[in-house]
Amino acid sequence: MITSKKIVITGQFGVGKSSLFNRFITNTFNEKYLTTIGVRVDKKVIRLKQAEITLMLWDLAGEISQEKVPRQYFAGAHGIIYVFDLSRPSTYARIKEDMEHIERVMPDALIYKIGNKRDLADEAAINRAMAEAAPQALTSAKTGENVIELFTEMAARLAGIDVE
Amino acid sequence: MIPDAKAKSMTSSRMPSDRQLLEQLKDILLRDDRQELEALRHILDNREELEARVGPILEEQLELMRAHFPRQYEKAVERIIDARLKANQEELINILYPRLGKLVRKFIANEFKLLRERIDQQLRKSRFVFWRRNKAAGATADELIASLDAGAIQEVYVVSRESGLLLGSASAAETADKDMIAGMLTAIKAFAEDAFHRTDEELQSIQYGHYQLLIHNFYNYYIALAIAGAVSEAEKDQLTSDILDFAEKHLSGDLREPDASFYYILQQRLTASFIRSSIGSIRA
Repeated sequence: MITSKKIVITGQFGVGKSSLFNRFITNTFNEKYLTTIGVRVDKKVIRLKQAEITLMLWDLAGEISQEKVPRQYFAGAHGIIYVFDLSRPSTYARIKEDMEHIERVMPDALIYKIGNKRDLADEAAINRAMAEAAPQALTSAKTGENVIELFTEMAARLAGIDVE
Repeated sequence: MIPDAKAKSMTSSRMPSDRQLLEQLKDILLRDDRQELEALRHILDNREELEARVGPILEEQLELMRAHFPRQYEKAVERIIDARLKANQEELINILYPRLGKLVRKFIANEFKLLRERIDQQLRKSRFVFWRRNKAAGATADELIASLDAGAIQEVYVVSRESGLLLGSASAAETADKDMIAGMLTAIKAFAEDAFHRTDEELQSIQYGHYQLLIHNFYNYYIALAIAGAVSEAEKDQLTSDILDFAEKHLSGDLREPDASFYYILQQRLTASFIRSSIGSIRA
């Protein structure tokens, strides 16, 4: 089976979206696209149980609000990874509104909330983030913790493959 | 033989039995019914007679149905059609889109032809030296420009308009990753269309030096041609026709979740239809 899925990575400024992207993608397109048109697209092919899944990753610059990011960037997305910084509560202060916005724009998409920069967050910060933002996974783009696993699990779910 | 028994025997041979009596009684009582039943059987078994009797009734019922059908069944039929249309919406739009495009193009082409004829008449009257010299050599302005740097299609992409996922592609030479090009091209399109708040208009071309990208938008996908060299207006016009023909022939199904084989089949068709040494030789 060969299939392609679009995944959008979004979240507040400075939460490490591009670092996550870079950690997962090795042959990256030039990052200048991010500053020119606010998005960078790259791909990664994952092989799972004889299935080949092409992930097209859209790394969005800046914030998620409707005014700043063209709605079309989200169009047709199969999965959305909403990233926040575990060490900065301000980056998940608006998570409820942002989630509502995403679910309104993309009601059928699979959405993951990710607490990034685990390497910088102490236990208290992690507990607070877990209570207030309820992330599905904690990652560290710096150390690579859970990064591959995050994208692989999402790819498997999007392709309907049971990897357990 | 005992006289009583003899008498009894004689009586039984002369007198009908109970069963016979019953049959005779049934004959008397049911004669008319049996005759009618026989007549009915005859009618039922004889097609012509049956038609002669039932035909007018059916006609009458059909007439009644015709007269009352819209009122009685309109809503039910509308519901069925609505449901069918909704279920196959994408497919229907993909079928209609290229055909509508062709109709519009036909109208515009005709208008342009008339305009061109009027301009030609004006030029002839003006005795413009340059035009006369080139006309004498048998070339139009379009052909003269195109002949200096004949255009050739380097690559062709069919891309999902929403997701930016590549549905099919073909190229004359190996280039950068086609999935990424399709994605970035979709992002650039989205950016350009969003930035100028022109939601009713779409990016149709990108020019970069010697190269240009021609984009033809359809309902849920677009086709982009990367061309090296000059393309005259007449060639662009021909390309648009070829794209519409191609879309009508090969892209009229539901393209939301195409299977894996779709990409390879489309790649072959795109190569056969568009990848040529010069635009002039293209046929959809």
